[in-house]
Amino acid sequence: MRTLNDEVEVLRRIPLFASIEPSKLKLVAYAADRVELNDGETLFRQGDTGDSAFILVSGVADIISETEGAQVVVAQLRDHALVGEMSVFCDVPRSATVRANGKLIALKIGKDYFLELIKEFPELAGRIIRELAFRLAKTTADLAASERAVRK
Amino acid sequence: MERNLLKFIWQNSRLKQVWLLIVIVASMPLYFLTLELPKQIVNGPIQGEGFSAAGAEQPFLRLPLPFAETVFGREIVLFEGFFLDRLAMLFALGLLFLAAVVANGAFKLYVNTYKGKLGETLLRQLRYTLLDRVLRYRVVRFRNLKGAEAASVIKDEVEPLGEFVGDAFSLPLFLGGQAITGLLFLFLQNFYFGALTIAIVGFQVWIIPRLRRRLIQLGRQRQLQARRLSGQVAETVEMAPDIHVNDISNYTRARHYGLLTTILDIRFELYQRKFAVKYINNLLMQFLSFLFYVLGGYFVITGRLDIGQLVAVIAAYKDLPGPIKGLIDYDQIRLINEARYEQTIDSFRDDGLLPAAIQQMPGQAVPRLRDGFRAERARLEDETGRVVLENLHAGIAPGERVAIATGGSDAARIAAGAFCAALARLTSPVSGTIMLDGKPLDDLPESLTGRRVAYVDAGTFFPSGTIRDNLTMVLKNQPVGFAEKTTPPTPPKGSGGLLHDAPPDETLDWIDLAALGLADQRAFDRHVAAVLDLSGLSRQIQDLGLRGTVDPEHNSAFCDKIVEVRREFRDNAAAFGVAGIVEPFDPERYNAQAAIGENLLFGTARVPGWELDALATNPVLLAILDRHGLRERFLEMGRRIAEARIELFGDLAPDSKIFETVADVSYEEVARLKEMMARLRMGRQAKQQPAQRRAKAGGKALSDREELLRITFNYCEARSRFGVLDAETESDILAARANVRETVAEMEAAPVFFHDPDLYNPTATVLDNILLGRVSSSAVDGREKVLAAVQELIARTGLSSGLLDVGLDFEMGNGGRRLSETQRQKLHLARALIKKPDIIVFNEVLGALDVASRQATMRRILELPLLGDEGWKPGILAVLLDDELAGLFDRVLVYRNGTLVEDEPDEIATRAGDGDDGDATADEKGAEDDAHAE
Repeated sequence: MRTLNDEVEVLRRIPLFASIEPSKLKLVAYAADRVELNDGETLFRQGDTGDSAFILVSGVADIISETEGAQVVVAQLRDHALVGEMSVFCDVPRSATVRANGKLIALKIGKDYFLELIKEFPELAGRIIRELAFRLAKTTADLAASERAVRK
Repeated sequence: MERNLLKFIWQNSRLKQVWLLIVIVASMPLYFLTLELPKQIVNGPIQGEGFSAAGAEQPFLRLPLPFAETVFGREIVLFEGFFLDRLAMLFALGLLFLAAVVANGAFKLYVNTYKGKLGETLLRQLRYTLLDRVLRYRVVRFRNLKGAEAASVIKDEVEPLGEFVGDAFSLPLFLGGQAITGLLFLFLQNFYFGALTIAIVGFQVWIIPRLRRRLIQLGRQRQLQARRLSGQVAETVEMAPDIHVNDISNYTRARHYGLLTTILDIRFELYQRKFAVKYINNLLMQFLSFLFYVLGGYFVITGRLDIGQLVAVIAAYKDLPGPIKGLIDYDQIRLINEARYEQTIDSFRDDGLLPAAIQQMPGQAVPRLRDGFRAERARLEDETGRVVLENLHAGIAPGERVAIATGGSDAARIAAGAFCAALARLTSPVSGTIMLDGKPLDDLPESLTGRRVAYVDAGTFFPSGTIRDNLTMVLKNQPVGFAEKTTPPTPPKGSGGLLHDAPPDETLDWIDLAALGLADQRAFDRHVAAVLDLSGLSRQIQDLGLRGTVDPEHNSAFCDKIVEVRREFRDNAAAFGVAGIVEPFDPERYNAQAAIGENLLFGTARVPGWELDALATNPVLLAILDRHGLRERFLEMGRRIAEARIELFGDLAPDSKIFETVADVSYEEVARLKEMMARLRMGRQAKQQPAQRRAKAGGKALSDREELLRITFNYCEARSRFGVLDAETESDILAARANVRETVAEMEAAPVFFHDPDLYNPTATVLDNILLGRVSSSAVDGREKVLAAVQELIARTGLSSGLLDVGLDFEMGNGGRRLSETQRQKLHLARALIKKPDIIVFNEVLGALDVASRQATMRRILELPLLGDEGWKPGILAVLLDDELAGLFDRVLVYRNGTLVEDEPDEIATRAGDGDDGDATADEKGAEDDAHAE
């Protein structure tokens, strides 16, 4: 059986939590629900109201955009990535569907607690901002690339 | 109502009062006999008076005619009596005394019971009359009427009147008779002393009422302040959330204390005056004795009076103060009660009462509406008395759909609201008329408007009771078959306004199925289900049903079906997409999702002593733990759990959000855990240091060791993951579980209901009965998925109505607050639909819902046929929150130039489509989303 201490070990390997001291990490592990998905199961669906963020512990997740019934895999996330934080920060419905590609293990952190964590650990907030900024940069680059492709 | 209390009592109980008086007078001889006989026993047989000669006999029960010597000049003996010797006489007199005592007691018993019953009956009718007045007040008046104050008048203030009624006439007559006899006797003894006494008593009669005037004033003030106090306390309770949110608890304290001090001051002055009056009274009476002794003594010494006369005068005087004191006390009670009564009557004045005939129960069926409402030149005011609608010409007929589009403007909304309220008879037009079927609305009986017209607004109040009670309440207009007796509650003549008849029994069958066009109870159940469906409540009430418990003895068919559903759920888990989410209860396996205590019991408690929180003090269970060597291990586990909790949460601030969101303990509990662990570490005997906490169940303080056990019993490894439960302990728990089962099986009344796949568990909720297992905490949205699957399964097996039935028994709590605001608004809507009225007025309904759900509900209501009844096409007047719905109505009214006029539906729809402020209002109101609605 997995115990809190095992989960703390898992968390320590995630860069997002690297700077948090182990005793606090235990609290994170306690607050997080470990969820396990089999291949093809969805973590959440586009348009759902989101009340939690997820940290991928192991496995690969497909990010799928659904438009009028058609599903397009727009990205893949793997180990230690943060998913679903947008609904938590902005109170908007899920912007995409996330589905397990193979066996996926993730930690689910409730919205209220996630915001509380950020308040308590500024380093965590910094890392999340960096992560989001990277993503934005990537999205911008992708957008520019696709626009160029369209023009051609 | 009659304002004079004594007149009021006399008017309503004269025959009984006379009878009471007769009985009291009839009992007097017996009373004197009980005083007289002891004297005779002592003087006669005991002291031997008249028995000096041996074998002397005296007559027993000799009956001479009273006053015969004075009237006829000689003694006339009616009965010579039995002649008895000394010893026989003793026994005869003794037995006679015993008989007199018994008979006297019986009289007393009868008189007291009669007085009590008389008073209480009058009290019941008085309260009933006051309540009748409350019911007949116009709705406008309730703006200024505090519920708690009215309650305090009806309940507390009239209470002492009940005690007074029995004494109102009998006591003063009785005491007065005694006093007059005493005075007469005194006069006979000596004229001057008699005159002296009359002078003093006369002075008393003159001075006392003067002293008491202020007393009555104070009594009135006290009553008013006490009434205010109950009003204020009730308000404080009502606004408790506001008090906390705004930190005004201290101001509230001050406010209450001020009032309490005022009451104290009044009461203190009251006491001072009351006892001062008493003091003067006593003084005057004693002054009389002083005069008798001094003057009488002086006259005796100076030889103007012989001593025998003085002794006779003083003996005669002896009987006077008692009755006079009684009379004075009575008078005080009378005054206080009169003041109290007047005050009560004044606060329930008759002005503006609806005529009783308006609320009369009609003998026959209420006719359907033909023409509907018609307002002519109506002028309406709002609560503040400002005119909001002028020269209104508008109407609605049955079958017609009329919308009032306000565009969210305040003036239009207030005007539309005033119009709706006037149609619902909540207010009356200042001028002009509102007619219903050609008759002025004010003259129509409430039986017509109350049954044929429905009104719904944004109100969310419900009295406490089950959902079913509150839903069907509006159908309880008159008992079925009550056609014969049609008189409204009217006070008989010369009763001072008191009602004497009783209303029909509350427990009769009040719901007239025939009037609803329904054949039987089953049809009614279907009707209720359809109404709830239409209001968008079915699903939510079914959810409540899942959380409710059912007694298999009352509803065995339903419970049997639930057991079937349980099997189907288990067999087809994969088909519902919930495979592996529920970990079923298996007697041979440890259920990782359940707490240790639950695993040990493998069932649910039927008695408090076997609840999870009480197991730590359950001797039977502890003995079993010892047999498996589990108690020490559990203690150690409890210690580790406590330490883990302290490590996790010990450093958090008391206001940390973590306590609200993830921790399964509160800050206070963690603090207690810290204290407890410190105590245990210091090695003090735990038993001598009982923890300061109280167990939730048993209510008694647990010792530290018991507390550790309690923690362990409540611990679930899968949820907390502290790693304190190993496989070996699990298998030992399984062994102990088997042991528990054997032990409980030997008990006469099993305190535990064991999980059994073939039996319905009456102590568990319907949902737990279906699952017969625990939802895994590691599944994503496990609970929601399981709930959805259960709902689907229930719909498929046709159990919805049964589950709805269970859900309808949900207790709504104080003010209905156990339901959400949206649910309560929907329930108000359902109440309007369930009575199938001819016209329904919707005054900005369902404002608490989100826009989409609200519009969907309104659309459903505007569809035909409603509730599957082809013949029922109610007229609908709706003040819209979503103006884009206006196109669905036959006509649309808008607010223009201070009145409501017809508008073209297209125009409104276009305007609404532009996204005017009407939408904005709706969006704001629909903030509380309600996912279950659709």
